[in-house]
Amino acid sequence: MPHPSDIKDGPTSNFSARERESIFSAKILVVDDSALIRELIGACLLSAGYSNIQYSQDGKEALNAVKKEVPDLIILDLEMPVMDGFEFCKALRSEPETRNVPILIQSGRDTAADITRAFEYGASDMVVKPIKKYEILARTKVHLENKLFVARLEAFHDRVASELEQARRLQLDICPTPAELNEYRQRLNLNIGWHYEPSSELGGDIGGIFPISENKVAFYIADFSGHGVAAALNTFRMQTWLASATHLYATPDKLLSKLNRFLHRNLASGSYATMMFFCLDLNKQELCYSAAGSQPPLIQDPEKSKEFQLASSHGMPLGLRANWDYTEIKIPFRENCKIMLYSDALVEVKTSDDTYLGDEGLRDEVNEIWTENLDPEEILKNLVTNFHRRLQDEEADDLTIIYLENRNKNVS
Amino acid sequence: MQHSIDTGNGVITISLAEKLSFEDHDKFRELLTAFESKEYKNCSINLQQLSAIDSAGLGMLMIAFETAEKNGLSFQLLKPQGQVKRLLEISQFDKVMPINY
Repeated sequence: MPHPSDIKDGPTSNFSARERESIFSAKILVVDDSALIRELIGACLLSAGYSNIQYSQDGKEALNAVKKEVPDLIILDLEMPVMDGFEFCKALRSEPETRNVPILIQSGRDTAADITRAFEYGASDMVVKPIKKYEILARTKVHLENKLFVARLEAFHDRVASELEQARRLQLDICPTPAELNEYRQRLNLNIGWHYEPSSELGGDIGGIFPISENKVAFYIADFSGHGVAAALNTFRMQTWLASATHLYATPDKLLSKLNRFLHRNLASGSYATMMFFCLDLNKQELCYSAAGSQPPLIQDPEKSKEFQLASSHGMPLGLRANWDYTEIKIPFRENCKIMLYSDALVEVKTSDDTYLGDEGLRDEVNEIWTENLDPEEILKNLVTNFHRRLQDEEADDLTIIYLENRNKNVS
Repeated sequence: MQHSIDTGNGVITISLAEKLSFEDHDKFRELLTAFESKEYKNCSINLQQLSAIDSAGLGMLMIAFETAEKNGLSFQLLKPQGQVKRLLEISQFDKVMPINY
């Protein structure tokens, strides 16, 4: 007996030996009320090397067979007693497990109306009687190969999706944990809110907070240009670099200058990161920071105003120019001063009047929902809820919101 | 991204319209090959009709500037508007290249 792969009407595309085996052992269900036709089709298939063929004599019997085990291909007659081919198609397509099983119709009914009806009821393909061996075999081959191609794509898709999900979890791992945030809240007497959700496609947001001493704490927000895996990998690159730069945490301008040189050497041309790096000195009640083109932060100084104001975040993004000097800015950050940092996703959403929210829009929204008796976590939750409502069906970019308030009393 | 190119008297002006984003990378790099021609001394990118730019688009403008610099051409950005203008300001591109408002 020839090996199936030697038969010219069998599967010939670039399949592995294992895949070829799976095609020839695919389950094919032949449904026809005529024993002669069933045998004829069965003989064709057997002669080409297909080995797993089952038979039913009407739609109802076929449905029972399908319930036991879903076949890989159904070769179906239209005119049969008990349940005809049209009804069988309809029943099969109404069930999720059998919605995509290929159905090859073989029938003597060849009027335009019959053909239209068969396809309307869910047939995948049609051959007209009398049965021609090579036609049946060619169509069988096409449908079984297609099924294998789809299975390959699904397997690839599932693998990529699962790897992306693992990468998302890794990105979540480099965020400060709730326990760490709690510790910083108590140790440094700060109110801290943190929200980070990586996009399902991954993205380039990263943020962090590092206590330097009992009265100094550094924190930052950054976003790599571009999307997806490349941007996400760069966040790990930055995290690693920052872990070895603890001596620069108290001097944000020097930190940005050095990080800029590192990223300029290592990033692809035209790629960059925006960043703001802060060092809060609780003895001096002063916030020192340096910016590289991030979103402008919102700052509220209750001694000056009850309203949040947008502060400047102007600066050359990191990695674009080989050598760049960053400026250091110092502002008083006394008791109850608050700062909110956010990634661009938060403001790049359309509001009800079809315009983008923008930095000013966000500032107004924060001022509107801000009340002293509302927990900052609640306020962040409100902002996140509004964000998702505005996104509607669009794919979300990474979203980071960091909130920090100084609770330490001013020493006069 | 939509674009048009004007040339004459040693000047090449690429006018961009709609949005400059990640998807335009290859097309934009292709446009920049014109800077390698010896015919031009000055190049401009007109942004008047460009309504939006993303992070990748901003990177491409820096690449355009560097390509011009490498080929010895003078370079300027013209008439950025709205979000494009804001992003150029935040990123301090005016400290690196002339921007003609």
